[in-house]
Amino acid sequence: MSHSLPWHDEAELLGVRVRAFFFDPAQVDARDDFVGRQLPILAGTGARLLVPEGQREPYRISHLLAQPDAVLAHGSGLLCLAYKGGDGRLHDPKAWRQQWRVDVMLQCIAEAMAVAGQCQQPTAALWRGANVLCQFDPGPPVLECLATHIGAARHYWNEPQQISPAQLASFCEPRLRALPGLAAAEAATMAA
Amino acid sequence: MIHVQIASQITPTGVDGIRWVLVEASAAPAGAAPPPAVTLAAAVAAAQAPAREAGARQQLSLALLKAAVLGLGLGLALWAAQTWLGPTTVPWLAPAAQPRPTEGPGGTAAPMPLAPAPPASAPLVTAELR
Repeated sequence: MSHSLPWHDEAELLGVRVRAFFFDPAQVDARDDFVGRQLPILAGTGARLLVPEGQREPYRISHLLAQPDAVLAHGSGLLCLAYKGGDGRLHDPKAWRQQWRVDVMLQCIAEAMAVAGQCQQPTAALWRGANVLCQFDPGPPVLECLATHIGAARHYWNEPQQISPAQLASFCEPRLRALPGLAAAEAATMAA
Repeated sequence: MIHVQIASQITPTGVDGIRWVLVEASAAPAGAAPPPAVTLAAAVAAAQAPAREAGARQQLSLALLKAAVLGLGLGLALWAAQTWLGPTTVPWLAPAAQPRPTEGPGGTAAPMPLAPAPPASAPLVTAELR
């Protein structure tokens, strides 16, 4: 793999390159420091929380308002982390693609877009499940779909002020599935 | 437009592989933003307004032209009829006739006396019967 972090697996899911790092929750959850506990792959690096743990700051871009679980400064960029969502179940390292929730993934990317837009810094989208940490690398079709459908999603949800990343993700997911290239790639990934 | 940079990779020292995307900025207050259907309808109405105005002007000029042609034709026909056939005999087009003296203002004949009235200045002829 071209990246230097020790990811265990990666897959292309609906136009998003997903990198997965599996860990033992009993061991990782017992750690004291936030980075070691929530971002075990980055334990010991210089990543640091922007606000104290548990505080959720709002980030806005256009009419998209996000409140990610945590935002960390990491080098010259930011890390947007979600760890409270999902259903809390364990992911099988050999069959995690079949257990994957696209809505959670798109929601994390939308949150990262809001953080990146407000802070004007490159931001990476991450999600931490019960026993897996994932980093999302969205392709251009996914980014364009999320960026260009904020207004349409706002009208669809009848939200005059702003929409949440979950609403934007829910609005964009069927549109992404309708793209022939992405749907075919996802089917091939699932079959693999 | 707002630039959004999404990092495609994470390294132990930072982020790498920047992807760019543009997000449209919210220029107007969200509460004042009309729904897209209203915006679309307004745009269509604005686009059609000059065409509607031009259409109305064209219809008006066409109606005026029709009226002018009809009036000209009618006048020409009346002139031709008067020239070739003589003055018209249509009662309401003939010159108004002077009312006869025996007629009242309503056209009814004035009542005629049954016998001539005696002159007022003639002396009464009386005869004393003895």
